[in-house]
Amino acid sequence: MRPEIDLNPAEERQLARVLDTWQTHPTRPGLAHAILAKARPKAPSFGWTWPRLATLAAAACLGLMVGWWDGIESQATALEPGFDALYFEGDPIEGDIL
Amino acid sequence: MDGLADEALMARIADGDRAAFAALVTRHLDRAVRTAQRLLGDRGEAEDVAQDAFLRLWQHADRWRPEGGRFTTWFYRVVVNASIDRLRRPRSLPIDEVPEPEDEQPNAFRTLHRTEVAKSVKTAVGELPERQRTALTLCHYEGLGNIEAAEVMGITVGALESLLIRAKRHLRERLQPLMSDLAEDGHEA
Repeated sequence: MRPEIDLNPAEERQLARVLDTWQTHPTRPGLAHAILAKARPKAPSFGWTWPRLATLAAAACLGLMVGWWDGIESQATALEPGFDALYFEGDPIEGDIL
Repeated sequence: MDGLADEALMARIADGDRAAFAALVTRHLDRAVRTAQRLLGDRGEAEDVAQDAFLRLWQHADRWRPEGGRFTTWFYRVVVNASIDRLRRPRSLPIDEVPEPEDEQPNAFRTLHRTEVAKSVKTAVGELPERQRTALTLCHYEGLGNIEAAEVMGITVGALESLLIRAKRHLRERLQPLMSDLAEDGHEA
């Protein structure tokens, strides 16, 4: 393997002159406009801050309590005399989950 | 908006400020296209890369952290990585078939000569391995210092210097006749 020897200053200058002959095309004028047109407005983000988390937790608790109360009420209704017999009497309807 | 630093514009972009995004695009579009064009050798592809980079920036500006380094360093990295991704895909157009921009010098012979030289330079740079080409683009054409270029490429300064030396040595061997031609041309002018 050859040692990595740098170019001498004169060679550096010559090479730089040659490399600089390669000019890039100017940027198309409509490109910036096209990029801006494609950048859609952002939906507002939901930051997970502590107050928001607390609100979310409270809402979840409330949901659980409502569900729990609803369950108690359903149980009380199911215990009403004659309910079971009324509900299960007759042929089941086709497609009924029961 | 134009007086704001890139980092301040990024903070506004994270909040969905389109005017800040427009200011950042205006400020850095040329740089992004130029860098991608040097790496890809094709203007159309370079413009696609620049567009993708800016749209990614718009979508994910909230993930950018100013303490991670300068905006330009981060943005160069995005453009370089997107260009390299494209280089690794099958290419539709060979690098040396792209026409050169017109040189506006009055002397027709010299113009023709310079165009030919430019074409050879473009081909020779296009032959370099992608890491050497990236190092040369960032340091020679974009004028980045070795430390910043190394940061963009995610390598040590020593590794970057080694890539530059190898790139220049290859180019010197490849372009030797043109180097002396152009030197004579310069003395005549």
